[in-house]
Amino acid sequence: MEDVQIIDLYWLRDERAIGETDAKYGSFCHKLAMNILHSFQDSEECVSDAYGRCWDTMPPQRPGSLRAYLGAILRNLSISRYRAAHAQKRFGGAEVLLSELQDCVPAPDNVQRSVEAEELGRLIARWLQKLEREDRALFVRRYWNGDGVKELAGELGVRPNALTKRLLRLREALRRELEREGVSV
Amino acid sequence: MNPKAELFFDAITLLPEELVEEAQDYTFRKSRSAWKKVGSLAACMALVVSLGLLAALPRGCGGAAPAADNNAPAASCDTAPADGADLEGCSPQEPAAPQTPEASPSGGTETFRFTARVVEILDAGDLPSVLVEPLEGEDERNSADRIVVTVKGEMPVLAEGDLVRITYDGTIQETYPAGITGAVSIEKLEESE
Repeated sequence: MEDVQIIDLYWLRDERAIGETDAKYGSFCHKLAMNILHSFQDSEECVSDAYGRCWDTMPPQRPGSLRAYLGAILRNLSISRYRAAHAQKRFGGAEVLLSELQDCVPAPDNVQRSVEAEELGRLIARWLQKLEREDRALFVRRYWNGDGVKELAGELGVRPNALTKRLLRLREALRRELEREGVSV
Repeated sequence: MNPKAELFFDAITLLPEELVEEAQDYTFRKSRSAWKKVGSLAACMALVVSLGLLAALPRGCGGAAPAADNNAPAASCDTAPADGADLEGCSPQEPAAPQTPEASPSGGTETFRFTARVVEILDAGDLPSVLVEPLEGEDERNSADRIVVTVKGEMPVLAEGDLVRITYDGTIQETYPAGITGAVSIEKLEESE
């Protein structure tokens, strides 16, 4: 079923909407949540909550991409669960991603303004548009999907070490771009 | 937790749909050396399949043909063959009737094994389940790096991080995490194994 048709089901308050969403994007959702939480039961609960959030927000929302919309909801739910449980447990998924993203924090030398998440997101998107398509996809798959380095290295046919270096170069390039923009976070 | 890194996480969550969608559908170009690995893997898989097919062929005694009567039992040293073929020296045969895995695990049903690390013990109701990560080098890792294994029989007492050997019927559900519902056994291993 196309996204438009599934979204129509939400708008019609047809309960088949969630079943169709799960049928089309269930694996994608579970994988994304697992990448962040590394817990099967926690990710099951987040996926279930994400479907509920879709039901509550459509209407009035009518996203162009249901996958991207679901993914964003799931990322927010997963990182919230991670934050809540962080004091008790170590989570391999989100911790690794967050530690890598620290490389993107610009140095405070040339600060003109501080930014919130929305503006930072726009700056990152503008920077991504300047990249080669493969680098852009790689950055999104690693830091939006949370896909592991080994998995991505397998898809690229390179060694994980080589990919780690490539990702580091991308993060450093983002940091330089933000420094050029004069932003601090 | 680093609040700046979390700000980046939140900012990336807000990336436009078009950028996210483009990445989901993008197919990475494998580097050339990877094709050699793929070719080697394909050759190994072909060899494994061939050996598996050979092992699945019924064991026979020389060239003796089975009885023409379809109701006759499979040829064995204890029954006289209808065509009078000499069965001297023939080793006992396994029953020809198909066996369920529970009835004869070492019989006609092929089983597969792999070694994995326990990631999480699951509460799945009546049937015990465990989430595992296949070790590097295991074929099952090509299916998924996380597999939920459900055992119909008894499961040993396990903890996160334990090394286990899983024997199953060869069927893996293509979900994520992947699923094995036909596990014959889960065996806890010592780290030295």
